[in-house]
Amino acid sequence: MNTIFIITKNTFSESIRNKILYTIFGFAAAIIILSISFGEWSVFARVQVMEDFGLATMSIAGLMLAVFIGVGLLGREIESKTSYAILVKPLPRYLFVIGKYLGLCATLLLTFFLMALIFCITIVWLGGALTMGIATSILLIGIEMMIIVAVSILFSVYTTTTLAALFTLGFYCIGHYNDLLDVSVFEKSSPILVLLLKIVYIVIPNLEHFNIRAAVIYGSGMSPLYIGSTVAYGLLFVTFFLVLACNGFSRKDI
Amino acid sequence: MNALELVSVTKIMQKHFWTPKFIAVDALSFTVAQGGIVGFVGPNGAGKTTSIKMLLGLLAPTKGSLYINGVSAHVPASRKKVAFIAEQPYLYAHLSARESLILSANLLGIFGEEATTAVVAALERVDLASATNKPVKELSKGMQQRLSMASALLGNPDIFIFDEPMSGLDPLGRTLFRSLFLDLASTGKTIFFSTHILDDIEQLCQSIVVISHGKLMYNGPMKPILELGFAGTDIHVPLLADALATKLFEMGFTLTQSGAHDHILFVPKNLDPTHAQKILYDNGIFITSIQRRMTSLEDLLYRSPQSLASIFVS
Repeated sequence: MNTIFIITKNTFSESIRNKILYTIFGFAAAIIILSISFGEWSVFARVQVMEDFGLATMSIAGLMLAVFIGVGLLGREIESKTSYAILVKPLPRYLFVIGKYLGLCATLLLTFFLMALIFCITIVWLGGALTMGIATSILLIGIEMMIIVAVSILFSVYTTTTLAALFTLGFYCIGHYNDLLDVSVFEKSSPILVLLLKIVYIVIPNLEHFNIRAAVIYGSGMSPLYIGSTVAYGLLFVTFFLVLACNGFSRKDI
Repeated sequence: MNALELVSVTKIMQKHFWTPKFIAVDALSFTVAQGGIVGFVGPNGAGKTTSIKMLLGLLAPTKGSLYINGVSAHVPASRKKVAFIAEQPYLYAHLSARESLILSANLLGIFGEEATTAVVAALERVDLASATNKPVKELSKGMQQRLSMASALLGNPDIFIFDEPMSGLDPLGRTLFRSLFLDLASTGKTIFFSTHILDDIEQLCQSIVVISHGKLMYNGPMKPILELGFAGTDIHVPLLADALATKLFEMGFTLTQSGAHDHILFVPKNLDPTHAQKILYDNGIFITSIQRRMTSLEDLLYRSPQSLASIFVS
């Protein structure tokens, strides 16, 4: 446990110095603040537009952070072999992966928390209320980010930095369009395709479960059961991807 | 129990899936006994770094087994008392020299005051005390290599595995490392290091392991190698008359002119140099000097490593 904490701390102190982090954070914060003016152009209430736009910005910024920091940090460390500093020590390799993951999550969640803070201040400043829905939405975007970080680590273990970034982006897109994998359409034409799509459907989490923006905007609350099961669903996938990453990294020639 | 042991280790590698596979290490077996300095030599691409990485568990062997202190190298615990320095200093650039060592100490289970004391001692031992708070990225490559050495000294390891540790060091740094190697060896530690600097091999190593094309060429003491390097005797004399030169040539000696006024009479190691000296004396020739002619270690180890196989087998 101590070792994981040491690696987590080192990863956090390394990633928090990453300039890309501040670029993405600054960009997202600027968009959230600028979105105040977008409300005036919309037929909807200003606060609703702000909520929708702000949450969407946080989701996209979270993806960008996970891709650039997650893939960049671990991938670069494997490619540049700085990981030797830790891997030649008498430690099982899975500790390295878990420590890296937790360190990256700590950095990203801190950044995400600051973004959420700016978002909430903006909402309050516009006269809106900080509802349970907004808090839930932020929580679920955070969980989604944790999945993306786990996936970016998984891809970093198996492939190059560039490919891992592309695959993670692809994963995000497929994850959000998972609902559209209408298996029944292909059922009659090709059973192999059906099987493939079913595998994709099962292996790739449906990231739309973490998107409750519409419910937040229209004020239709989410049941605690939905929130709990979605969090559990997310954490299950985090565990699944991390187990795959640990397994792959333990066998990897470095 | 041997400090290091490789048993029929083969490593087949492939750079990319579209490039052909190649054998980096081919049924390599050798042992390194506890204590002393052992050199690991071979031309570029011989498989030295691959073997070292397999020992450290960074690469998995395709076939065969590796052991550190009798424990299989794929078990992390085998590296409990092992320190490593690579050719390139692999350090976290965002940390200071001190933080970098604290991280290493913590990963070895050394914390708090004990870690601080160990870090200060290690930095002093490699002459880096003045750079304690400097960020790693601001240190020169030589200083980074010394920092790697400081990191290797933490935790009082028994076995030091170094892959070209002198790379990037200035002459002072090399002298420092050499004296550290000797210090560590004098306290019973095992130092196994690969290098291309044959001077280091000659001066530091009691024994060496030579590999070429992934195969073992030699594993044993330095002395037979140095003896193998003895090619014969050079006898420097003033220019000889043609008749005497022909006579010596017919006896198996080789005569080459050195400058305008001298000859060098080469007596191969299978002939007796005193016999040549007697002939010269009998002919009233004054011998200027006598020297041993050595085949360079470089020639032996890199250009004809196969020649080592004969003494290794014998």
